[in-house]
Amino acid sequence: MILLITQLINGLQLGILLFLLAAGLTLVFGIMDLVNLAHGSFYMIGAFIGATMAAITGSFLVGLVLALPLAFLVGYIVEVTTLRTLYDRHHLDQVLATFGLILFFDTLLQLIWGPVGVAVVLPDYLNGFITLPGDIPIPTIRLLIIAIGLLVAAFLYYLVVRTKMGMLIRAGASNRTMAGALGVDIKRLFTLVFGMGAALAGLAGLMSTAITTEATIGMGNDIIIQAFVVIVIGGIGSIRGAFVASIVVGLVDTLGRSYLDQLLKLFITEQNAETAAPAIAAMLIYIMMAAILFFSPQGLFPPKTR
Amino acid sequence: MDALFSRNFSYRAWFYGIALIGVILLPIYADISGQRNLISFGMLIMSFAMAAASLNLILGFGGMISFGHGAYLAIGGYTVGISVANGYTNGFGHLFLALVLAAVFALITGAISLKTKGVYFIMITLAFAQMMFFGFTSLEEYGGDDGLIVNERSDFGPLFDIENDKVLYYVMLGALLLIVYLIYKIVNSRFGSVIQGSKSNEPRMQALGYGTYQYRLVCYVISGVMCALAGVLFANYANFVNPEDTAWRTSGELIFMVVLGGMGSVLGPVLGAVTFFLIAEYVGDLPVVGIYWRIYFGPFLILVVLFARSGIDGWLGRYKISADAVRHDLLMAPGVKRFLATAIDVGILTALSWILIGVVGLNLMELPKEEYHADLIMIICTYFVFGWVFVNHFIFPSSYRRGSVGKLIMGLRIVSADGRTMTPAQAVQRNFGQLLNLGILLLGYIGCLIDPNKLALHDDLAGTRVIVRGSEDD
Repeated sequence: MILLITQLINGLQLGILLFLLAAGLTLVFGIMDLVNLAHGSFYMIGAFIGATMAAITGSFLVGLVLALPLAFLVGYIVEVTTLRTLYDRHHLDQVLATFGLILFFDTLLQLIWGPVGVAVVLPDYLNGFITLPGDIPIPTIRLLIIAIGLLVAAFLYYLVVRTKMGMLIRAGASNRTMAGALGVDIKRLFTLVFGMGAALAGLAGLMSTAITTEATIGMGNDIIIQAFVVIVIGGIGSIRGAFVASIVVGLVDTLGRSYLDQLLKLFITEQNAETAAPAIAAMLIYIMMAAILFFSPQGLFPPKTR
Repeated sequence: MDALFSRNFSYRAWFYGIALIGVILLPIYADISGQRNLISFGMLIMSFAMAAASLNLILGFGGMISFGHGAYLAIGGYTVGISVANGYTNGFGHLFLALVLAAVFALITGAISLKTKGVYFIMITLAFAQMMFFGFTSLEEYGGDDGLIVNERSDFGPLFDIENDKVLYYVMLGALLLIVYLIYKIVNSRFGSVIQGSKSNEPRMQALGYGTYQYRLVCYVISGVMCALAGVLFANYANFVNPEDTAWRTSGELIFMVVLGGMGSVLGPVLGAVTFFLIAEYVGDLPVVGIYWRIYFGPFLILVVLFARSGIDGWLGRYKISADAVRHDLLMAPGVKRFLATAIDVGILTALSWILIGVVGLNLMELPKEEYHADLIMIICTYFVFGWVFVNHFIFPSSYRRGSVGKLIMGLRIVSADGRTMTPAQAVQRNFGQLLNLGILLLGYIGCLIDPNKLALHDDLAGTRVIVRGSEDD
């Protein structure tokens, strides 16, 4: 029972990290119709910048606060210099060009910070455990990540549904040309949204280092694929879909890794189950995605237009 | 036609012909010069050329952007690896197994993937490749993450004893030619027309009564099977299979080879693979900056996507300008002035690289690395040099300036044959022609001397004229 709750929390926390990545990704995807593989680079850049800031200032939380605007700035520069030219291009061009960006950023960070990466030291008050009723110890940092993620989700919901800017974002998402014709400065809006997505990715990256204890080269390249799984499952352009899907993916992935072997033992021999379980657990979210796309080719919350 | 050669002269045919002879003779040259690693380098390139060509069948001709084609490479490779590890070395058996497995995998994943469109298709093919990746890494008894060493090569009998590197080289060359020939036949068949038709206008093909889904699925399977053949040969060449082949970086690089070489051209991807590995090998071997070759490669990839979509194969054909639009009143630049202009450009480039890389860079390398980030500064220096080449030979000529600095100083201009400013595509093609010129020992410059229009090879390719300033004004 304790194990189950711990794993639930872990899954929830992975889901939250995925959501922070996927939120930016799905907005960029939905509004600008841009496949940005390099979104994982912002995750990595945020982690490296934040970890360095934390090391300089001596406080992880200060690093966390500083990483946001700096990742925003990097995203802003990348959008203005490179990605802006790609909006009207074919998806293939976007995939390739952003693939080029990944290669560039991976090498650049290796040049600046060295191949080993940056270690992250958590302050004591984040390193401990909080005991839930029933003597279940939960790492404070995971709870913090979940709390921050939920705050961001609430903020995004408020931003998109309740504010003028959110209205413009939704207008841009459903019909770019019409919104532009009605006098919305779509270009500037795109840049802002893109920078915001980069900042969220950077935040997620830094928070993930709090658990892995180091920022490493190429750390964004695996999780970005999972984030793509999330937005494809959720339906491209839908923040609500991204939220639901990231929690589901986080839970399925974590629980699959810890419980699949026991589940399989019910059907096949113990030895076979132990060999097959890790492989199937790693594939689980991709199987889920393939199944969902097979029955609903545009994800769970498909975009209403286009 | 007053061009270098007759109007029907095809650079493309000559280029591929000479290249084929070169590839056939390469092992002999390697033997004579003692550079045995040339043979394995050739085999590496050929295996990826096969994979890229097979990807092109669905990507370039069918418009199906598969981001998981590396999986088939790994299916072929692991079939050989796992069979050999279990003591089964019959090559024909390996081939049969690999192709059948690839066909089954392609049939199942294709049937699901092709239900989706656009970005969803990219992502679902990627997801299937990821599944294979995790599948292969979990095979603990077959190497897991570290990959699997293949102790023995497939046994194709005494006639094709591929334990000998040279035999394997020619077997691979034969397989590559076979794949290219098959793709050529497929593309020009009725089946191929349906595939290409559904790329450009699917509803119309459906209205004509074609089941585009079935056609696409068959095409997808053919492509996967071809790639698995490449995988079988690759595992035999490398004596190693790696789960990384299924990872998305390999698939991304395969897509890039296709685009670099020329999508929708049968031989383009082969050129793309050759160029890709030449760049990786050449830049990767440079001192100091070599290990960071991807920092050049990434921006290069972006530039190719932005400005050079026709690919190398496209640059081998003449840039099309309608015969009516060609201006015959342009005043061609005299050969001496062209030579001086080129000398100025080369001089500036040499001076710049000597100062930045030779003086600044090498002096910085002496300083303690940790404190000064010497390698970062070295790379920034090289970036300035590359940036200068880009500005002087691409941005300037295709902008209102109409010429590189050397040409501007000598009072010359480069214009399109119709008297307009070059398009970016023409500028790219012109620079490529100059590279080609270097490759054939500057023979292409002969045209400057003997041709009535003073057309060098790169001018003829890109449809450009080097003229005296002002003569293009009406």
